[in-house]
Amino acid sequence: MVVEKNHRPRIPALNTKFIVLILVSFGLLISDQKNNYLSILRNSITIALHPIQATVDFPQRLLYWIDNTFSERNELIKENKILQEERLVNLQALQRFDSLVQENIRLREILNASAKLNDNVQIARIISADINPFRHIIVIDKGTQDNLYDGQVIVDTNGVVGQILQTSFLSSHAILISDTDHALPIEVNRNGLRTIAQGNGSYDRLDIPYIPNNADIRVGDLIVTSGLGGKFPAGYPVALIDKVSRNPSQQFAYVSAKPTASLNQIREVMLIDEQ
Amino acid sequence: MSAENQKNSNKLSAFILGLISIILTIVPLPDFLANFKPDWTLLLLIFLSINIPKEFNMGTAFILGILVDVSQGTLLGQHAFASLLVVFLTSKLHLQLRNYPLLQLTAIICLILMMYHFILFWINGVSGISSSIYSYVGPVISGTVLWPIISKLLGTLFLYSTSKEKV
Repeated sequence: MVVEKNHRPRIPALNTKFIVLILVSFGLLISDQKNNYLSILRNSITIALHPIQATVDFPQRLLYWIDNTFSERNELIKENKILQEERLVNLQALQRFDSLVQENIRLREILNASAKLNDNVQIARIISADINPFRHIIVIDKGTQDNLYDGQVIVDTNGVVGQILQTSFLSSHAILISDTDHALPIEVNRNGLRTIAQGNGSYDRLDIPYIPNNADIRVGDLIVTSGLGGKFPAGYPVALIDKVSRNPSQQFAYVSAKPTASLNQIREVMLIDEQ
Repeated sequence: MSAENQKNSNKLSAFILGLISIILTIVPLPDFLANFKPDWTLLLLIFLSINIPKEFNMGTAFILGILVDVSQGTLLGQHAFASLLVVFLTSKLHLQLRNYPLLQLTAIICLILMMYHFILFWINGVSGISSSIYSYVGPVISGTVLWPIISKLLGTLFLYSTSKEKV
C-alpha cells in the first residue's frame, strides 16, 4: 500500500526551530540570572509594552477620577476641615523640628559626623502591583526620564516601602521590602540594636532572623533603617516588632515585625534622591 | 475561500488573540483571585498548536513567553522556555489531541499545565526564588476550568482547511 503523504498535515522545520529557540531561551535564562547584560533588551521590550500597560491601567484611573469628581460637597468640606486641623498640628510640630534640626547639626559637628537631613523627594504613582505572584514587585510610572536610578529608595508617608530594581525610560520596577529576596539593614530605635530584616512573602510581616536569645528587643519596638550597607538612608521607620518568642534550644529568637507602610494599599510612593 | 486567504485570516486572528492574552496577563486581579490568574498565553498557544498546526510557528511561543517574562518581571526566558517545551509536545501530538472528546482533552490540559508550572517551579528553585505553593496550583485549577470555554470560543474564530473528520 502506498502511503499518501500529501494528505497528512505537514509541520515545517518544527524540530530545528524548536531546538534553536529552546537553546536561546536557556541562554537567556542563564545570562539573566548571572549578570546584568540583558537590561537593555529588557528595557526596550518594557518600553514596547508600556502602551498596553497604560491602557490596562486606564479604567482604574477613570474610576478614581469619577470618584474624586463626583464626591459629595459635604464630604469634601469635612475632609478639608480635617486636613486644616492636621496642618495646624503639623505646623506646631515643625516649629520644634527647626530647632531640633539646628541642635542636631550642632551635635553632629561636635561629633565630627556629616550632617545630611534634607533629601530630595519625587512622587510616583503605582501602575500595576500584582504582576507576579512569586514576587512582591510593583511598577511605577516614572523612569530614567525623571532621573530615577537603580537602587533608589522608595518610602510612603509611614515608612520604607522598597527600592528600585530596574529603571526603563518611562516606568520602573521596584521590589518591596516584603519580597522573599529582600533584606535591609535595620536598628531598633530604642537602643540601637543592629540587625537585618527579611521579607517573607507576606505583605504584613517581616522576619528578623538573627536576634540572639538574650538580646534586648520587645514587642512594640520601632525598627528604623540603620543606614549601614549604604543603600538606605538612616532613620526611616520600617516596622513595629509584633512577636518575640525565645526558645532556649534555638540559637536565635523568633522575631517578626509588621511594616509601618501599608505595602498592599498604597497608590502613591515617594522616591528619595540621594545622588 | 482560497487556502492563502484562509491562512492569512487565521494569522490575523492569532495575532489579535496574542495581544489580548498579553493584556489579560497584565490586568491586575483582586487579591483573592491573584493566585488564580490563568496562563492566558499558554492556553492560547496550546489551542493554536493543536488546531491550526500548519500555520503555527514555534517563534510565536518564544515571543509570547518573552513578553510574559518582561511584563511579570520573572527571569528572562523562563516562561519562553516552559512554553516552548509544552507547545513542542502538543504540536507533536496534535493529531491525537484534536480527536479526543472535550472532557478527556481537558484532563490532558490539566496535566500539561501541571508540567508547565513544574518547569517554572524548577527554574525558580534553581535560581533561589521561593514562593507559596498556591501560586503554582491556582493557575492549573483555573486553566483547567476555563479550557472547555476557551476552546469552544476560539473554535468559532478559526477557519479549518480540513474538518476533523477528514484528518
